[in-house]
Amino acid sequence: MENIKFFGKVFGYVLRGGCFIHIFQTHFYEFTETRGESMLPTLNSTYDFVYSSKYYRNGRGLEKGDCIVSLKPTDPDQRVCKRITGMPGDLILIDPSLQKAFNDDTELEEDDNFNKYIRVPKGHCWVTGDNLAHSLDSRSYNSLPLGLIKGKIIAANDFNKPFYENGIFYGFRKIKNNYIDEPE
Amino acid sequence: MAPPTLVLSKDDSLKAYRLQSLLNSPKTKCQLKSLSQFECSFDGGLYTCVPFKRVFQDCIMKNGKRQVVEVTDKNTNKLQFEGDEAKRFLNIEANLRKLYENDTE
Amino acid sequence: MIISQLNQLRNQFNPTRLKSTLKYTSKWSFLILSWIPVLMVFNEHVIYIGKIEGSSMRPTFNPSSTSFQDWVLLWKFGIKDHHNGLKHNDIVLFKSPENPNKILCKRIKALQGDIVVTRHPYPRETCVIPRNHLWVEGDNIHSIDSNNFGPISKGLVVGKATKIIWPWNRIGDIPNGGREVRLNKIKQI
Repeated sequence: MENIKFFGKVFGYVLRGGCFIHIFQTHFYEFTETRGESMLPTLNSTYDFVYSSKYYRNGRGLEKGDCIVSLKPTDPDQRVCKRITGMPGDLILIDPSLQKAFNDDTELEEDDNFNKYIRVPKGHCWVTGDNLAHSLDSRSYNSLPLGLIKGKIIAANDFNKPFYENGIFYGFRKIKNNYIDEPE
Repeated sequence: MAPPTLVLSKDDSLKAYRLQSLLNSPKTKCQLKSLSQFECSFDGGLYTCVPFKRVFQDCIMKNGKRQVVEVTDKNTNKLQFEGDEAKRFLNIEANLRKLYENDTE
Repeated sequence: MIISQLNQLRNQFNPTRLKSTLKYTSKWSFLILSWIPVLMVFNEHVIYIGKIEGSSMRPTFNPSSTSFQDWVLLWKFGIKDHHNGLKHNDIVLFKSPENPNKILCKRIKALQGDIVVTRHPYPRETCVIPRNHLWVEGDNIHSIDSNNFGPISKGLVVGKATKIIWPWNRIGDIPNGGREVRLNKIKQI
């Protein structure tokens, strides 16, 4: 009887603690590992841990140029990190990247690359990985519904780096919005 | 998947979404903005990254709405496209493709 | 009489007693507060009760305009499972693709790989459902559904409606409804 009571108590504490952490992670703040080449060189392909703020889930308060964590539309069990390159209503090019331009053989098609516009639909955003050459993103699965967005990446730690170097712990850096004014 | 999206040329899309007159109005204030990403490839030792910039006209139209129109063109990344980094990048990519093709055969 | 009341008052403000009441209340409030996350997790991942508004699912939900909102039991556990998760004709609640803060309620009409015969205002006549996407339609023909915003990702689904729990005269299973949209099924008929 004493044993059962003891296990019940331990189970209760574990359950409450676990649920508290889960709620905290889904609604406030999360610190997790990221993998994959799609966000190079902003995020490394391994051993990079990111801080994401859950205030921005469902696209609240997000802007063009922000880094986000979202569910992958074609596989909701997976999460992806991408950068927002188009907000609802923006008129943007589908893919003007270098690789695309060089893959096309004729001059005409190359020109065409810079004239294929889409308008990002309401409630959606256009996301691309920082490494445009190796990223599965809006260019293949179309715009991303804001409802799939889980948070915004605000900082990252690199566990390849030493514990302390030049006043920085584990290669800590802030992930900034890179949508900036262009001098004319 | 998103709603069916039309792929149009710039002129056609401006016409289709009736933005021409709004954007051409003298009351419309625009700011040129840019967003930089990269194209990286891995050759076993190092990553070769070529910066890639996209340029946008970020406008506040006379009806108070914000409208962003991309203006990236051939010349935006011309220097990067012709630089050594880009050549190295394309080289690695070509090698990777060759490897992949050999694998699948 | 007065003396006894005074005594009682003094008893209430007795410091040791005050301390013990404080201890008692803090203990209980901690106990109650600490279970709130558990309840939230349970509601988010297992069962929740949802309210259906609007006429898009008529006659399955809110059959007449005079009836109040229907309340349904939402099942959330295991719905993202590939094989026994969401099925054809299930009713799901999902975040609207057009506005993530709005929850819509529609019936699943086709799953990944199916070819759908669309209705106005969808710009093409047929649509192949991509991987991990669903085609959803309201039972009522006047409904904003996949014909407007295309197939939706499974990631937007928040729960599956399994039982009507209010109003009392319709408590129980949810009836079938809607049209057949899958091309191969339509051909068989």
